[in-house]
Amino acid sequence: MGALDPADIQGLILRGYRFPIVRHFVFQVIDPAQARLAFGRLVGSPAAELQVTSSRDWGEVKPDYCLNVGLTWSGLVALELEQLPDFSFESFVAFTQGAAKRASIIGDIGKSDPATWIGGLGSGHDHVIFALYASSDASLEAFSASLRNNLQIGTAFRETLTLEGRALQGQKVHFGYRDGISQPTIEGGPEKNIPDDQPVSAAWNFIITDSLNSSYYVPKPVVLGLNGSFAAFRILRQDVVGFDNFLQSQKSKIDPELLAAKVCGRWRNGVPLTLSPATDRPAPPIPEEDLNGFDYVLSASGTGSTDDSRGIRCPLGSHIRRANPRSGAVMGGGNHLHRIIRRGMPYGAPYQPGQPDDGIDRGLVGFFICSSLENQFEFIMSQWINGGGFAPGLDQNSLDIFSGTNDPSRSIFQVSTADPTQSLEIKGFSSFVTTRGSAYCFLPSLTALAFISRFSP
Amino acid sequence: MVTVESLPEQTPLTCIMPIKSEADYQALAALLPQAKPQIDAALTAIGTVHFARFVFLSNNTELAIITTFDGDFAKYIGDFATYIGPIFDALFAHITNPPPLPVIKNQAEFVAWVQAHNAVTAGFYSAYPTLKVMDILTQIPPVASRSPVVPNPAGT
Repeated sequence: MGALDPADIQGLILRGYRFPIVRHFVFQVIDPAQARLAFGRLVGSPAAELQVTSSRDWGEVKPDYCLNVGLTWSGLVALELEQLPDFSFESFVAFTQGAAKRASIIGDIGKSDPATWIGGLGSGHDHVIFALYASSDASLEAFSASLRNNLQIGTAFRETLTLEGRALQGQKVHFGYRDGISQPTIEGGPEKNIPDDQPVSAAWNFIITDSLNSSYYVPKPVVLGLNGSFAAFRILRQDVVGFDNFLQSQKSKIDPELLAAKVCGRWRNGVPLTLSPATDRPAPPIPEEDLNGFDYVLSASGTGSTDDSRGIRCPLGSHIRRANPRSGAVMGGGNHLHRIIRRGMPYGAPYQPGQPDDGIDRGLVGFFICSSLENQFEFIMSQWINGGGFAPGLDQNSLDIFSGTNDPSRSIFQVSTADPTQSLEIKGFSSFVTTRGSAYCFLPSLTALAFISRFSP
Repeated sequence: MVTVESLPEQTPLTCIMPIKSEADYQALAALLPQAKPQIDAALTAIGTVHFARFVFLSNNTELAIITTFDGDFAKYIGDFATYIGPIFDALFAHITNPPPLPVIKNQAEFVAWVQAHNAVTAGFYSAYPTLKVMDILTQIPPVASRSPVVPNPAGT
């Protein structure tokens, strides 16, 4: 394949914007012809007030906003694109089935069941999702108005949900951890992430290309499919009080902050346990660019690798080790094929200690991006987050504490120590995350959006 | 998966594939030893396969893959297809009525084809029916690294 074309690929796929605010909109198509035309107003007119943002470098001057869009399968149908000659998404079964039908595979059951989802998500009327990132509240409101005007809300589309995310101090999430440290490095991509020892991911794992090595056939017509991607849009409520109570409830056995680090695999400030198992403030400090410079087993290239195959520094069941086992021995290993790009931001006001009954809905909202929802997003969720026993020594009932569907009658978290007699097994905890909504989206290229706007059945 | 016996963690598979001709048997007999290092490395990395062997049957008119593995084969098809899909593409050139190729782009069809060619297991014994490969690995010293098995396996 040739080099990637950042000007045609949506920006949130290849770039972390680092804006302080984002507003997500969920829209239902009312008038397909008007809706298709609306996309044409958002591409190909650089001088216009509002345009979908590509991955192209914006140079020295950061824009006041970035805008991106995802279409669900029901959205493609509502836009009448099924009537295109050769129309096919044959390699993308999870996408065509949609997040609601796939919910039980990834653990969206019980309180996370699609029947509980908000804003029409999972209903089949969740057609189009926009994410508008802004530099200020004023910009957010101005460009929100522009978006609604461009989309002819009330005529072409109906708005079924808006949800704002806001960056918290120190890039933290509500559970109090610094987030967004580890992202895959994509072959040919412009993003400069914190470096790691993992192989560069082939572009086709994240961008729909015509690579012969890819695991899919490009959606047809190819003008619609090429340079696109897929994403799981997720609204995840986080029970901060429940999580804090859980940490404190174990303090007779383990320091709550050490337990917090063991649960995550990093201390709250992002320092990885693998590099600093005893303190979040090692001396000398770990430079920012080294926060991903580690592996869980000895490897040839690993600058910071150490033999932690038993999980004595970083538990086998910790969040970051589950979601990205690096070179550790796991079922589904080779270990670098199941990667996702994470573009999320906290929503809801921060928790104020001492106010456990504030009634505020808070959590994380955003996109998990990949080319194969099955082999990347769903694999991680079903096999490693909501699955146990996939690594040597990991209990069969051990699920991720952050986002696993934990049942207190079976839940277990193992804290292994060099002296096995000192190892802990923490049990009896519930889930601390509830899925409030989910949608599997196609993230079309800018060329595809223009193509959609020109299509008439 | 067609099995008579189902053990808690382990699933037997006996996939029997008809060989096109004597010349194709000769080609397969030459191909399999060459592919062995890559197959072995892939199975080590994927971490779900206890044992696997290729056996020529019925006077070399059939090739069988006889294996025992953990978990749901379909869940790990993405890994198998990426690591050893090209080997199976080469192998299927010598098999009658193969699945749609290449394997990497036709993973669901590959799984269905393997299941359709899985001979019924009339009896199955395991000395450790509740243990997965990962459990057994806890009993042996850690290996230095199980990855990467193929330089840039997903590369373009």
